[in-house]
Amino acid sequence: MITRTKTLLALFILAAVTFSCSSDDNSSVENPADVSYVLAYQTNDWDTYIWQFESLDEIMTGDINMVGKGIEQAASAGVPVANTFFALSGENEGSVGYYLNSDGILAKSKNVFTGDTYAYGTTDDDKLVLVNSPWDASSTQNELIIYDPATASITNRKTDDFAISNGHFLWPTSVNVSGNKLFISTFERDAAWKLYNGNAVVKVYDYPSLTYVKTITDSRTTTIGQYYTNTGMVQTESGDIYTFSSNSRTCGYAATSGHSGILRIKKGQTEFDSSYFFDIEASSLSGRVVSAYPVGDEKVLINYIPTAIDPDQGNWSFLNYGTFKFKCAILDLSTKSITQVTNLPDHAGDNYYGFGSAYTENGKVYKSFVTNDEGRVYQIDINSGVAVKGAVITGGVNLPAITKLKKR
Amino acid sequence: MILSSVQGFSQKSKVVLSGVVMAENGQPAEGVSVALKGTSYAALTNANGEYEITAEPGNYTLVVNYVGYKSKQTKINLQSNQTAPKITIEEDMAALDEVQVTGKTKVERVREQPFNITAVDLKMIHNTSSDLNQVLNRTTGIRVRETGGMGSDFNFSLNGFTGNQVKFFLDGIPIDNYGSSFTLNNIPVNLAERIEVYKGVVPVELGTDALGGAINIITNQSVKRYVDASYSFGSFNTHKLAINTRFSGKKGFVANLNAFGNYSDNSYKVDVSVADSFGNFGPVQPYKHFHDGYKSGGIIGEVGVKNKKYADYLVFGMMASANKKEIQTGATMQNVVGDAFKDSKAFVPTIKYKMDSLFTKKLSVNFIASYNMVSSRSVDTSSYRYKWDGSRTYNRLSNSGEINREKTIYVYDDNSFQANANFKYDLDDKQYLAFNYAVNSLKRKEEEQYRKDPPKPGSPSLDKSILGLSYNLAALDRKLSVVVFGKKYFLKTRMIDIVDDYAADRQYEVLTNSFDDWGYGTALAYFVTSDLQLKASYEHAFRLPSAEEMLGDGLNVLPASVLYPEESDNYNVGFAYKKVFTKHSYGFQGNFIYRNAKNFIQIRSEGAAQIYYENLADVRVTGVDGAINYGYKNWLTFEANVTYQRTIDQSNFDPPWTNIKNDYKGTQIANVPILYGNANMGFTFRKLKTADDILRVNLFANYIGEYYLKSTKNGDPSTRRFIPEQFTQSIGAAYTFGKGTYNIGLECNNITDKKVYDYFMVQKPGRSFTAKFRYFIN
Repeated sequence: MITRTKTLLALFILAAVTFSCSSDDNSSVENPADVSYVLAYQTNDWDTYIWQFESLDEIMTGDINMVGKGIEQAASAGVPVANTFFALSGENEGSVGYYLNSDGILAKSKNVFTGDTYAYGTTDDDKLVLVNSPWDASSTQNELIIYDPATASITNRKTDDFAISNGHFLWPTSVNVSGNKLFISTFERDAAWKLYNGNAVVKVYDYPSLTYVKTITDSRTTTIGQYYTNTGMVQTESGDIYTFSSNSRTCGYAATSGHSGILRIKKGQTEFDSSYFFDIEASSLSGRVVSAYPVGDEKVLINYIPTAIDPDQGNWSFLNYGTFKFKCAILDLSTKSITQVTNLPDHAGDNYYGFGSAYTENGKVYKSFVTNDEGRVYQIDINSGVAVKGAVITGGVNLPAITKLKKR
Repeated sequence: MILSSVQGFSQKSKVVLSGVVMAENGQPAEGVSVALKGTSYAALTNANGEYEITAEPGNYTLVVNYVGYKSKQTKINLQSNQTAPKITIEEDMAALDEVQVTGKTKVERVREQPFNITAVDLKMIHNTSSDLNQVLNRTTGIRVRETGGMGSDFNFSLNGFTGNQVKFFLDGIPIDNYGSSFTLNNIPVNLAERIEVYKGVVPVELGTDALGGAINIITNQSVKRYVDASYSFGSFNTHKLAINTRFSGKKGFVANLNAFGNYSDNSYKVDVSVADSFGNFGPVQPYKHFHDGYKSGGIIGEVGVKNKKYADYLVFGMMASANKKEIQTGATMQNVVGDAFKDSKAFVPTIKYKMDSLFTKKLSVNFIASYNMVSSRSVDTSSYRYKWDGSRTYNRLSNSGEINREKTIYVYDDNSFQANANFKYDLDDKQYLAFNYAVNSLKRKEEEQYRKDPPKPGSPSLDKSILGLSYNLAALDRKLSVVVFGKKYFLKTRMIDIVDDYAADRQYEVLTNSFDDWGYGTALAYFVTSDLQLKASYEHAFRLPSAEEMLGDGLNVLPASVLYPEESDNYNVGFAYKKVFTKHSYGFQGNFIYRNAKNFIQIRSEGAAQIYYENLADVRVTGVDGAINYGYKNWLTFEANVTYQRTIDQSNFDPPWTNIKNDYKGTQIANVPILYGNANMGFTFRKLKTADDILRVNLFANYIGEYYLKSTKNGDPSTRRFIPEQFTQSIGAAYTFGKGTYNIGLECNNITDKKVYDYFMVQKPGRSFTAKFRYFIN
């Protein structure tokens, strides 16, 4: 069963959702006739549908189902970036992008073969960055790919060796581009998929040349992010990048004496900011951060597991609904202020993660959460942390991405 | 009925009467009923008109009956083994000329059993190059889904039950542990005389844990000495060879030798769009399969005695077979493979023993046992990545194997002992009890020869045993047949599981499980008139997980250490009507099936190329199938059948370990065929150039309706991927001369060169041509 879970992960990583951060902070007044919302819906069998809807009310009341509607995907999830919604699939049918055509209807761009992607992120110049990795250990070469949604084509790809001196190698957990630098957070593993929890490690590249620059480490906290969640690094509106280290068994690591916490790479810098460390374990949350989602300004929504119960959870139980003990909080990263999310039941996250699964509009964040009884959308007020029940997800369990598209 | 094959071998006090029945034209008359009047001693003639009746010495009247012919009677003084005078039967003028549908053949007798059974007569197919899968695929309720050409993986489906839920036998011996070189797509049609398909309800004599039914392949039992040698060749460099012989000596010595060989490049064309290094897909182009070769061969030798004091039949056999299969694609045609392959070897010593009167005349015993040594290997170590044009690149990045995400040479040796003992006790001439005990004990040795995995603690094992008892009654002048039975199932498993895949140190644990439960059932059949038979049957059946399901194959099939037996309530109701007129004959059959299965073990896809098995809590199958037959004189036959079935998800929760309601309860499960049918029109032309030559021409048509790949409920239907509706036709002609000794067959499959799929985007061979030469003498 466990072996199967591992291979489920392999399937899981075949697909990704990215989300254009810039789509929801447009200051100009938009005409409702020119925009539509789009979400990705995923069943337990990883069958994925992309569905266009017109109002957030539709995900706040009743139920969300795909009975007779939605676009069936070859991918296990959808992929949106830069006013497109892209179905990123490692399968040989390839990935395909969707956009809102002049009639306001989802239309398809051409299929592109992208390969086995394990980390993905967006850039300041509206591109998608993919990191393809050898799941098997017999190579340590990773491939960095730049995809341009405007032309539906790959514009650059380059390989880089992720091996380290002790014979182990690094594995990407998140990728982010700020200005002309690309950052990949990693964990250390060996050929037998044994993970080694240690310092926070980020590989730095020039963008868009994809030339390797250096690897930076920090011993104030532990490994950043976890396997195929893409929620280990967040670029806030200031352009600063924050990294999230769990030090958590639930997240697949043997916990060390270090503390789960958050580090910062200031905009324009290529080093961790030595003046900044947000210790989550020592904070009022007394927890370990599992994943983080940008919600505007310098704020993030996080899933965390209370430190006291983390050792009791199954190893890697962040996936596959292995635990229903997660809680949420909203953090202002620049001020280190914490707002506990209330009225939200303990949950299993959404099993997919992906930073695009939280959609922010007008001071509210919309995201699906799975409990032992249902998958449901909650609307969370970013200032007060109060959660409001939204629509139940029937026939499926989670929404890997929610976004808003404008007519082309 | 299984035990009926015992007939023909005398008890020590009995003697054998043999003889031959000819038609007026000098041709052997097959399927003619020959009986000793006033006794239960009876037989049917074989293709050569020959029969054997074993009876106590005495004075008898030999009665010969054949529909459309005058009945004949001859007095026989039977004292020792003897040959009766040749009997020639004459057409009954009252029945007018050329009545084409004859008396009851063996196949028809099998069909009259109370079980929901389809008997497929293979004699007409012996001059074709079909394999058993292709033959069965034309039968109601059966759908064989293949991933390609010869030797490809196939999924056998019977009334919505698939794979291991259906059990396969060769003369009553289970062949599911014989390995991949002795499966339905390897066994030549010429080895078998007929196939019996038990749907949903399986007699205890087979001693099995089938959930959805059983297929019993019956070899030619009635001929004493023969040679049947055939060779065929055809498109895609396909060759098939089959030799089947039997020798019967004077002192009860018997020897059988069967051998087969299959080879194909499977170099058929498929239509693919290939992606370039920047991920852009090119136009759809035809490409030839270049790494899809298959070869298999086998030899079965048996030596023994019959009609001895200690045994009516005792033979020792040895089967040796092997195969090698190259792999061309993963689960979709985009996943091109150029180096990975599987191979296997099997050695199976067997013993078969039959005794009609053990201690008492009322008790007969039939015992068969085999020790199966099957060694299989999955090799996937290539770093090359192939394209459809055959070109390859060394892939630094994705250094997994071509199919597996981790390179592997996985070797597994399955050694299993299986035995099946049947005892039949006659209460009187209308009732008997049958007791069955079947064991199957499998141990697997597995070894990873490529990766350095830590050693595992011992071997996984599966031990199954099944006890069965049935009461059989033939009443009301044999118009009513009733079978009532009970079965007890036992399963013990020992699995080796990785404690925690993600733990710092990989540790293994041993999981042992045991299970036992009761199954039961009944079957009845009643002849309302001599033309119309009604049938009903029911079984509460269990199916214990198989070795492959629990242990995987190291390549395409992932292990599933937590798998429970499946159980199902299976109901069948059906009728068969047959009316024979002077020129025309008609037959109609119809069946309704209902299956309510729990813990249904289903194949689930894992990524692009792999599968694993899982218990899906509850599945309900309802189906109807029907068939019509028409015959005109003795030169035209027409047959058509159709199957419609619904396979409905009945699970309550999804995922099963949560309380999240399964919203798909009550909906059709995707990727399962729903509607399919077959038609066959046959023409027989006799006396074309010689007095005994025959030309048979058959036209086959096969239809399958569209079905969805992922969901029958979700998604705008226009965006759903599906396996398309397909309608294909084939034609075959066989010319026979020299009293059946020389046979030449020509075939064209998929005449219109349609694109054919059983799985989404996995294209099967297009049009193909085959020629077959066959020599048969006895």
